[in-house]
Amino acid sequence: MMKPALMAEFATPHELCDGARVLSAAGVTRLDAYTPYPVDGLQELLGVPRSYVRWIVFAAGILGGGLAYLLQWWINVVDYPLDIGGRPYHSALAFVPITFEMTVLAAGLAALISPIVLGGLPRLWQPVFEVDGFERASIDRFWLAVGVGDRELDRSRDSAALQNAGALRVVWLGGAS
Amino acid sequence: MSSLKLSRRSLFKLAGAASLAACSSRPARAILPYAKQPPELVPGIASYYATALVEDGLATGVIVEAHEGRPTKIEGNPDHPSSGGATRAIEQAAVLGLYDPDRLQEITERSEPAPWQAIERALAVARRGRTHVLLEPTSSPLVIELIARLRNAGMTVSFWSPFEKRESLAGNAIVLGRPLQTRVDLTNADVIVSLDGDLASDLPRARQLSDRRQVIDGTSQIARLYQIETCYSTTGIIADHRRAVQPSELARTASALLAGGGDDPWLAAVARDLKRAGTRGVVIAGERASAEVHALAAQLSAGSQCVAYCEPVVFEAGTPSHELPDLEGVDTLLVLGGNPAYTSPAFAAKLAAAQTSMYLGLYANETAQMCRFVVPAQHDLERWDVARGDDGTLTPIQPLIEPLFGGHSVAEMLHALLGDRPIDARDELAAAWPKFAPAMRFEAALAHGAVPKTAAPAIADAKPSRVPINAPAPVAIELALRPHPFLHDGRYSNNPWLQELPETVTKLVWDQAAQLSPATALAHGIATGDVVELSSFDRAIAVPAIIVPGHAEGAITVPAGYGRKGAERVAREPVGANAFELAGAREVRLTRTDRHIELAVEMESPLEHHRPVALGGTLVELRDGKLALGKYRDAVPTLLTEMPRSGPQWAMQIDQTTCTGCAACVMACAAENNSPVVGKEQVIRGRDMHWLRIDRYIDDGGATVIQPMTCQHCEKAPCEYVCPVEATTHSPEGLNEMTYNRCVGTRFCSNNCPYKVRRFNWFDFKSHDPLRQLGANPNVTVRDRGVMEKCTYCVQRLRRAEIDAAVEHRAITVPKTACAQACPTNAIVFGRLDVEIAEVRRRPHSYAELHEQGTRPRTQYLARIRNTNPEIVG
Amino acid sequence: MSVASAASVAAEDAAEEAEDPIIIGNPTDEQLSDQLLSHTWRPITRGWKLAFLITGLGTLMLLALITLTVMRGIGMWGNNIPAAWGFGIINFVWWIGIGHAGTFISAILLVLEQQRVRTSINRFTEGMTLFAVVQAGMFPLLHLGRPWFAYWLFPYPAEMDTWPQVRSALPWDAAAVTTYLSVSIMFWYLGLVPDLAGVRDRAPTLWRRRIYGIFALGWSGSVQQWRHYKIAYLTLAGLATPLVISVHSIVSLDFAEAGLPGWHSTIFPPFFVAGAIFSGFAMVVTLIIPARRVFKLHNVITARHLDMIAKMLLVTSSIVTYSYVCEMFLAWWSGDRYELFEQLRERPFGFYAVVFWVLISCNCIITQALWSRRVRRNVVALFIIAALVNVGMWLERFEIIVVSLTRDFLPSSWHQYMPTWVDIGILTGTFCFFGLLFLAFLKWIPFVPVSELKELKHEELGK
Repeated sequence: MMKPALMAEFATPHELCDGARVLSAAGVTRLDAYTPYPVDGLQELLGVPRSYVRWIVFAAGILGGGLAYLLQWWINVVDYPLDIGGRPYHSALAFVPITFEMTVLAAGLAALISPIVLGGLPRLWQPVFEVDGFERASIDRFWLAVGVGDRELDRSRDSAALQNAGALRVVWLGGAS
Repeated sequence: MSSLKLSRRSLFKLAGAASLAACSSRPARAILPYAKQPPELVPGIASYYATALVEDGLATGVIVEAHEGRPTKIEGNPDHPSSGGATRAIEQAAVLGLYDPDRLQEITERSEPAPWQAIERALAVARRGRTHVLLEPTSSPLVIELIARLRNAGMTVSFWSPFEKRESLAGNAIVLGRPLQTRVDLTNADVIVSLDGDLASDLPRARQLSDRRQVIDGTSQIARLYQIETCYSTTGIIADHRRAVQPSELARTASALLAGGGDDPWLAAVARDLKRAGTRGVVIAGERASAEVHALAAQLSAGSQCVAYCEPVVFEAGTPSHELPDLEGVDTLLVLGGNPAYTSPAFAAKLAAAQTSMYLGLYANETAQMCRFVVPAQHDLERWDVARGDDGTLTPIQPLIEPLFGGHSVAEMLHALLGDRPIDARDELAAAWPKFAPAMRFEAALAHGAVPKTAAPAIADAKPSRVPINAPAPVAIELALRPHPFLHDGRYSNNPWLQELPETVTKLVWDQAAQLSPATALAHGIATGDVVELSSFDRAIAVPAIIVPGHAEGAITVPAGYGRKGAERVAREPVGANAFELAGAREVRLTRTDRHIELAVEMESPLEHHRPVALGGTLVELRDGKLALGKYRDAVPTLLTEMPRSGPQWAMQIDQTTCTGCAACVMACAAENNSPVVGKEQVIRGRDMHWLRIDRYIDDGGATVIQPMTCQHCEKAPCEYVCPVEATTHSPEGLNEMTYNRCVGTRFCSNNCPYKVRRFNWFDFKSHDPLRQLGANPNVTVRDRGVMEKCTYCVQRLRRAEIDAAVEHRAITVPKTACAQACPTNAIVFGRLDVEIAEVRRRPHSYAELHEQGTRPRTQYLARIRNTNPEIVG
Repeated sequence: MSVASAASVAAEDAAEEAEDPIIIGNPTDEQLSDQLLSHTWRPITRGWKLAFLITGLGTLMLLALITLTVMRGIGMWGNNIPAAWGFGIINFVWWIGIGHAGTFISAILLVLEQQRVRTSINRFTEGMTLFAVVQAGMFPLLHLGRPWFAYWLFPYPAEMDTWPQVRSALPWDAAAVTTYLSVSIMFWYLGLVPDLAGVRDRAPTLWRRRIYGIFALGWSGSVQQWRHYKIAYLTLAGLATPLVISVHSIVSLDFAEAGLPGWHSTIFPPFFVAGAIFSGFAMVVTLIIPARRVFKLHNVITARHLDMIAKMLLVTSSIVTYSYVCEMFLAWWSGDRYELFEQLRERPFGFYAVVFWVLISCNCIITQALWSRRVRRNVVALFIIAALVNVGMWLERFEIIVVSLTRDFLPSSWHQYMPTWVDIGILTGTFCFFGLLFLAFLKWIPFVPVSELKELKHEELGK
């Protein structure tokens, strides 16, 4: 979780993107944004790579399904084979539904847990929450943030640039050079 | 089932009976185990004793299985000619009668508990006064001796039972000059014409008939059976040709037969068939047919090798002493057994007027309620006695258990009446034994259960005379008052097993219903369940009606045994009226009332709906290969592989040709496997618990066909693969096994069973009555609520046989399932697929039920084969 | 339907597409948030209290009847042999069918990028799904003879080395329903997180902010969070899509796996899925029309939404009708005497014939009114049709389960099935319990996805 040095509040996603564009043009890299809904193109603008969640989900699904099939096979063929209605011990077709369901369940769990964990959650308090007015980040305000320690961040230049881009407010949190 | 109210005293008695301390539960004096069983009692191992159950004075030899001193199961005694190893449903249910919490439990005087001394005092008074003793019919030589002494002492004695042999003796008296007993032997019969006969519930005759009707293939020469009757009976079900007539029409039919059939082509064909059979043809009349019919039957059977006559086995049968007394001037009346206040409402009034009355019986029934002194009787399984079988065979009766409620026997009462010193019943019997059966020691007879060669001898010169017999004229609606097949004259009405046993033709349980044909019902605007009033002069009863296709037109059949007003809780439960109110009436007026009752009929649809269910055909079709049962037998294509098998491969074959539907198997199954009783409401809901049922269908020709149906033990069982918890699985021996403890009760198995033979414990159905529980089979789990159950092929018997074989290092003795063992006609064959069953399964009329479903049932059927008379069309 | 009428409907649709906005007016994000979130902190009014009381009492009755059933035995219900399954399984299938529309609308439309239609109603339908599945999930448990051993259907290392029997459709069902419930909760919850953060930031009292804050997990809406979130949410939708198809397919196998006439049919999986979506959409209509009025949501749940759902009802009704015809045709084509009797004799003309004709009327005939645009736009008519479809679909399950069971192979085992008062009480009780959960949902949870709606509005305006 990034500790911000600079927070800028925008009223619209367009202005937010403009602001981000200005900063990244100035060479600022430690950019983050807080928005009430995902803003198209913002991710690329901030240079955040594409999420790899789907691969985690895929692996979890394969694992869940594979284990489910293996368990069914082991129960029926190895551990306790029983004559059930004269059906073969390894009744492959009958094992399909549970295999499928367990695939989905494992994948689903992965799809729930991974964005939470990867998004640094659960974390009920974060430094940005201390910023006055940030509570509107989940409603109708768009916040741009720059992390502590970005060498290219320049207080006077960037404040003006952001305000030009349409920032309603620029908050410096200290720690900037 | 309400629970028994236990007093401290009775609790101790029960504890004794239940007993872990085995020695206290057995009679104090040694009783002898059957045949080669070890004399000592091994816990966990059943002992078997031969004894007999007595009905209307006649003994049926049985073998009683006892666990730790508790009788739990009754089987037929193969060495007794009245049983031949088989039983009726009534004998199967007798164990429950023993453990009946409603039984009389103490001596009472005017409903207040009284000591035995009070009885002795009353009898001492009776001895000096004018005393009449009313007994049930008896064949016991012990009792007969006592009767002679009573008469010498100036007392009068008579006998009463409503459905004892009366008409047959009267009929024989017409043509033979005296009331002789007819003795039928069907071993060599070719053509049998039965006039309302109930062959199928007469165990020895049923066995002979089935032996004469074994179909091996189309060329088998089997006996032909014609049944002419009023109400559909088990004999009617197995008959090759059947005709339904008014009761009075029977005599006219018999007369016509005697005249060669007259202008009735059907009767003429029967008469010709009978003539062709020569001495191997026989005409038999049922006990409920009138004396005229019996006389005509005797004339028709003259010269037949199948019929002989002997002196009546029952003491003084056919004489005036078997009528109810009028009690004029009698001071003391002793009623020792029976229930005359119920079976003869006219007698009840006289009984009420008696100065002093005393009753000995099992229940606080109608008669007991009218008597001043009431003495609990001993159950057949509690007493020492001797009786004769239907053919006269001397039969010792030994107790299996100390009297649960300290009952008394008829002999004991008569001794007390005569003022004798009390005598031990066993000592008395042992002392008298050489007199009765000089050829066989008492102990040997006890072990054997019957004394061979003591049957009544045939009377060689008994030839029916050709006296003309007048047949009665027809009436509009004729009453047929019949004993109920299971409740008899009401004496078994307090047995919930018998109450819940579906009557084969109507499938009715718990309630009384007057049977009538569809046309007669239509004419009177009557539907099944409508309450009808039957009246004759000033007497009337109201009973629900049931429509029975195949019932005679213009007749109504009312079973006895209902409308019980005694203190027996089970007997009081069914809807119904006392049919004996109309005893003696021939014509009745039939009126529909506004009341309607929902009858508990276990089968909703009587039709096969053109489905290949209970298959059958004629012998000629079988011979000519027209039956084409191959598609119900030959292998069906399958993707499934064979599963590994080991051990004996159990299988069953049920012969629909010889099965009469007597339901003995159903009762035997329930008794062996601790099946619960659920009551009328649950039956109406469709929750009966019998593992074995007798399916009854009415075919396109209006004939009733039956098919015993139970778990088919499918090799590719549909129930197994749908069970989510492996509660039903297949054994290497081919059994479809049910693991009660593993069952969670999804009931999917039942849904997927094409035969619907699984039963579910919807509630806690098992009995919580400590007395009832004594009769449970300890080798069979009592099922809890929420689990599925079904036929196991009596797996407890299979395991016992396997264990015994293993212990003794020998090949397995194939056991019989309870149903197969009870079957009077050997219609159920159980054994190994490749040994005992292999031969029957090769027969051309063997087929598998719902074969095309690919279930590969281990239980299969032999199709119903009719040996029709080619001269009779349709 | 004729080609001409199809074409005219298509043309009509195109016209509507152009004229109907998805959001009426142009509220600001703040207005939108306040409109759609404020109900979570506004005080409970008398009307709400009354509604809670009624549904709460009904839920208590349900609990009482469940207690009675567990104490006395499953015999309190009307089931018997042959109809070993009755109301319990009918209710199970019906409720789980209801549950389908939610995920269908939410997941499939998301995957198909049909945001315009989806947003505004997806959270609502997801909630409906969850609560319907909760009702449904009770029945497989309750209908057991020994419900306390239900866990035996799941694999665990048991003392006796016993395992579930996986050739049976019931463990499949257990797996499918469990997975469906779990994934539905996950999907619902994941979608809810940004809106919970909204309530956290907007609610007037501290304890509300804290409670919602806990469930919001500390969501800040950073790009880091959104980038995983968006993909994960879409992936979850992608997973839920085949799940919707699979659950009712597997439920249908509870029947199709058996050999019973009327059950043993290969068309069951698609037939059941169509029926499920049909009944689900009908339930959405039955619930959304009153909710829309109570919360005055005409601007976000527009006539266009209702119109879309009505068309969906028409489509699924057609599929279901086709399936009925197919079942009958297959019975005739197979020549199987048992199947023929079941489909062509017993169902339309047998003891339960009235059930057949009512269900045909509700599911196939009345729905034809939806061809008319006037009916689709008439809230009252739509509500009545949807309610009737719910009835019809319940009866359809009754037909499949009860009529098949009571008329199987051997006529000797035929026996009528009649529910008891406990059966009826439990069914009524589930309506109340469903209502209670739904009321709680409407009251305390943002039931219109605000963040998605804002995104959509932003995109719409940005065009």
